[in-house]
Amino acid sequence: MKANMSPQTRKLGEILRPLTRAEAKRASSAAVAYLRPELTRDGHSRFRALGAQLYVTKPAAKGAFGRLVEVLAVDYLNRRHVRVVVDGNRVVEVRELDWQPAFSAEELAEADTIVARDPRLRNIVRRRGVFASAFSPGGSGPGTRRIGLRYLRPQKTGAVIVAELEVDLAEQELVAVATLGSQRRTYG
Amino acid sequence: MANFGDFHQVTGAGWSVYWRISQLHGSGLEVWFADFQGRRVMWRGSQPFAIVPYHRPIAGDPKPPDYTYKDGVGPQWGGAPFTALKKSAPNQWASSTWHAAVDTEAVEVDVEPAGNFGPAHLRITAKFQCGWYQYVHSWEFDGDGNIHPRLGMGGELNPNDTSKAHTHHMYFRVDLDIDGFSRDLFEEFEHASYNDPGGDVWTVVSAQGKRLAAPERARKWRVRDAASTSALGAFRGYEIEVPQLAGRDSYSTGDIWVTVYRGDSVQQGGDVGVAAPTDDVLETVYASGPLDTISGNDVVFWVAVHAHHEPRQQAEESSFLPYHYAEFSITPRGFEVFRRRSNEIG
Repeated sequence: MKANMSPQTRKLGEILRPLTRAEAKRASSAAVAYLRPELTRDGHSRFRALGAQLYVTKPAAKGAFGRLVEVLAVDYLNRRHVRVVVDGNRVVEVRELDWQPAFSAEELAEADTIVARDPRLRNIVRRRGVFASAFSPGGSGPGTRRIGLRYLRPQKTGAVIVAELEVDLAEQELVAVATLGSQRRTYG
Repeated sequence: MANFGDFHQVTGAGWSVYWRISQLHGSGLEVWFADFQGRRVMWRGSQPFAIVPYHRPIAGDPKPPDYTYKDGVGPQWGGAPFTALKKSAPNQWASSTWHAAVDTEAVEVDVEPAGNFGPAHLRITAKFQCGWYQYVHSWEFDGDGNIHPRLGMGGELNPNDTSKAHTHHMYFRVDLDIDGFSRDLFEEFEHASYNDPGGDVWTVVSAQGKRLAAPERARKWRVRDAASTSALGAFRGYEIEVPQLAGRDSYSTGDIWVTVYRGDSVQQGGDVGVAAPTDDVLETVYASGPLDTISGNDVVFWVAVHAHHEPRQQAEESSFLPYHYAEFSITPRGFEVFRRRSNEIG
């Protein structure tokens, strides 16, 4: 597998091996431990680590490549997204993001559960064959964590939208609803 | 091994390339550490976001006043992330049963030998659900050193109004490291006339910024090493040729932006299109500052491929969109000396 590989890439060999579950868990724990004082407000905290992955970047002059792991976290309480880079157990970089990172599967499931709390909507979105498709509602400011869900019914001529909803994960509530044949309603 | 985010190496057609899909719902397919015949060509390539303005007015999404989505990384304005699909997923608005459980379910790697009419190639392809649309991300690496970043568009038409035309402005981020990084120059070519000398001119670009395509002047660009040369003395480089299927507009304002490397976690497109559904951030934030025209820089460039789509909702596209493709080319110039007996190396 080394055929045609440059000397620069050969040097990366160990850096690029797959991230183990243990490494991912260790990095997430280190990131959360580091952030915990900032995540807490009035004795409460509500946050989620969105996942960990290898982070490869070019070293500064005369520096060496390291096996770094990047952890993204959502701090719902303080409405911010944070990126943490971990080297082993050591946090080496923390940065607040000015954009909204991708929703995790866990968040999408949570949003779907919030939708299904409403009995009228539950009848629509839990109907056999209906599935959800996520989008990002417009104009979300930094730190906002709003998920849009379009619920669809497949048909031979293309899917039909039966409901379009917005969920604010920070507030844990439905903020807008439009069902097939109805006008859009804004909650709150 | 993680479900997503690991690096996977593939080889073929004289190339060694790694690919990665960072997340299930995210920014799509990335290629890393693309080496040709033992020399580094590309550190990283990605197509992380799209800006999609629709004809207006339209009932339902996209919403006024801009009627424009930002899809992919950091989606906004009703846009959606690129969700990795199993490679066998049907061309439709696919449900979560077709989402890839692991990255290797999403990516197809083809290696084809050279034929009578073209070189061998290594092609890395994956498709992503994005609302009702599907985007195919494809990177082809040819045995003659060419690279073809390609975008396929499929899925279904906007269910709110299937007749509404729109333009896909797909953005590619490419970090070429010709024979290593930190010493590359960025140049712009123009064919001014047939009178030599001076008929064709390469000009070294001295500042980061936005550049515009001009087919009437055969305009193209080049990233070339400031020191490394081929066996015959040409500076090693790669040209960028961007044939456009549509023009620029107030949402997608350029064709190529030259910037410098500032890391692999910043300036990846997440913050573009957040304040407004335009690419202004590329020009005002990313492509800002001087370039070193003597010693070179670690050059990163962005390309916007523009493709206007007039729906065929009463015929061919009434139930699904047959994939249609747009691409640009990254072509070696001075990189290597080819042998007479073959149209390719290796």
